[in-house]
Amino acid sequence: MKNKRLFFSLFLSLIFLFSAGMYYFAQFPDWFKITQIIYLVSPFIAVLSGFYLVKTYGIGGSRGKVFLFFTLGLLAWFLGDVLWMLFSVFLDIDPFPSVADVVYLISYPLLLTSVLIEVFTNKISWTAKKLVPAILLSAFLIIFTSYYGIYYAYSTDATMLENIVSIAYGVGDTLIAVLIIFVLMVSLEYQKGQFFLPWIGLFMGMIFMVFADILYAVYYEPYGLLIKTYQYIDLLWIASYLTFSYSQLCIASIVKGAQDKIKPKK
Amino acid sequence: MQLLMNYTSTMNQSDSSKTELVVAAIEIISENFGSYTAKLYQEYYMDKSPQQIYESVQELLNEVVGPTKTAEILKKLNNPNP
Repeated sequence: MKNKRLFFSLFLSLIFLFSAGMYYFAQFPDWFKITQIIYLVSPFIAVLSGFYLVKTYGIGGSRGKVFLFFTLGLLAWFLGDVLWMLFSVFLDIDPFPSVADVVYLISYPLLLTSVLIEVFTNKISWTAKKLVPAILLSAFLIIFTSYYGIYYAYSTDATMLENIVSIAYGVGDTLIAVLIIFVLMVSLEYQKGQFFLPWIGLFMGMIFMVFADILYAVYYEPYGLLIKTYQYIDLLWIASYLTFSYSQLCIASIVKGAQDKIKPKK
Repeated sequence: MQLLMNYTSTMNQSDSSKTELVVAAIEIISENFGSYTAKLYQEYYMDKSPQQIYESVQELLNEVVGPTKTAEILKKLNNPNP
């Protein structure tokens, strides 16, 4: 079990270091296509590890459904990324607003469904000791996401459609900021258990995701102009996807461990 | 749910206390380890004593969800040797 965890963390860290190295050495805009293709590796791994976890749990129980909806949310993000890259890199079309945004936005209700099923199944004990730091963190993120994602996203120069799509992202991120409180509460339920670390990983992944989205909302223009410093925002999204992958692979390996315990040894 | 109904239908009425224990154990395993794992344990528990079933669930939960959550979950399961 520990060996598997070590292998997952080494493998995913190597992917992160490789991606970070490519972004560091890349000359923009010449290497834009390459960095975008490298970027897609991480969400793809997250989707694959998600479906592997769903298969390990089985679709019948509530836990299988939790991770099915979560993986479908990741799949929506991955497909959104693919479409975004197709439009911006290969077809040279402005990807915002486009069908890529619709696919991205679908992920938010899927993630909401996933976390709500988990919360209702897990029977969390809402003690003040756990709840207070979770609410404080969540409130901090909600203020950021609603300011930068909703208020700051509105532009008088943009079309109505552009404004609606921008604000929809802000609303989605604010929703994730609320969901973070639940994910943290679920994680704390598993203290001293093997599920604790992977659930903290899911929590961290969501934090990375929200911070990347906030930075993107704030630095949308220099990011769009391919100024190198702002391209590093991608690394936060990559970190988020790889953290999700790590957590999903760890949970799958724990569940597999429980199954192997009673399987007759060959 | 179907899993539990299948199991109860295969049990003899004289085993009712064991049946209750197994049904509760399978439900716990399904909630924490998924339906596929629960199905495997359903077969595994067929020839196990109530005490072995209880200890098996306790061991699984202790490792994975931690002692606090385990104590809370095990309230659902009647310990055959309290």
